[in-house]
Amino acid sequence: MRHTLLIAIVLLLSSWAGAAQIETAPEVGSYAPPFVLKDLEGKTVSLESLKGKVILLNFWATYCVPCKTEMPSMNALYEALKDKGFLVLAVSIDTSVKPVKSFISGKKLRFPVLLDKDKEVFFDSYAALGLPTSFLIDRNGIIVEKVVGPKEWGAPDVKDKILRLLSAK
Amino acid sequence: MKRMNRLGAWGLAAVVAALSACSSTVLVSKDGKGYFLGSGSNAAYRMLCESGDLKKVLADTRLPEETREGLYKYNCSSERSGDRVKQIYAALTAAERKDLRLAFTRNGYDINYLPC
Repeated sequence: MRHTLLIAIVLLLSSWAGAAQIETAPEVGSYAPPFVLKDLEGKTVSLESLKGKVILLNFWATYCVPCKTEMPSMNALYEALKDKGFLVLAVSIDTSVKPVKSFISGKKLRFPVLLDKDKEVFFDSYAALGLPTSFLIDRNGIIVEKVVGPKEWGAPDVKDKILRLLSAK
Repeated sequence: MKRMNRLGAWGLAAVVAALSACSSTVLVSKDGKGYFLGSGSNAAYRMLCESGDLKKVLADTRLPEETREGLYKYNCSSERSGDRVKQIYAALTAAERKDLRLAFTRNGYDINYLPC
């Protein structure tokens, strides 16, 4: 009886610890915090509704040169793998929509772009510090990689990794 | 004037960005001046600590006392440390980070983000 009680206490404590982990800054291995944001047309998009896809969540801004530099390779990756269940979600922390729309249309970028004007998702939920910061999220909503700074998204190892995630259940 | 201050802040941010890495902490700016939390610079100390601003910002939050004390200590004492500030920041819950962000904003600061 005492033994059972002890196990129950340990299980309870470990579940609390797990919950606390979700609450703090998300890292590799933790669930991607849910969010709801509007896209450039004002349409609401929730991360929850995209569960089942492999997602590259990218935080950027039009005043961030390295962010803009990596976008063409990100777009090419999106175009190549979107039909297999891969999605790029670019979250801009610009305070107005106009420069974002202008940049996206000028560069002919096809992936969805969301706006986080108050930085609620960037700062509060994802505890990011620099731009760009990207999170690769698997089909189960778990963060499998965090990339701080720009990256060459067209590199073969990146594509291979995403293909592996796409083929996993 | 406000626009000039904002331009000044971003100009300064660009300079700081060139000198810093992505691993820096949050940049807070006010009146055209911006500094990383936990920075060891004297100018940051004057802006956040000598002015009493950080005390006011932290008092304006609902963060646990221990967290507020830690943030004050690692910004405004001889133990100033960007790494310790980052540790505290990462351990905050989303609601606590929001609380901190809004407290800075209410007290006249912008929280800015820099290109890596």
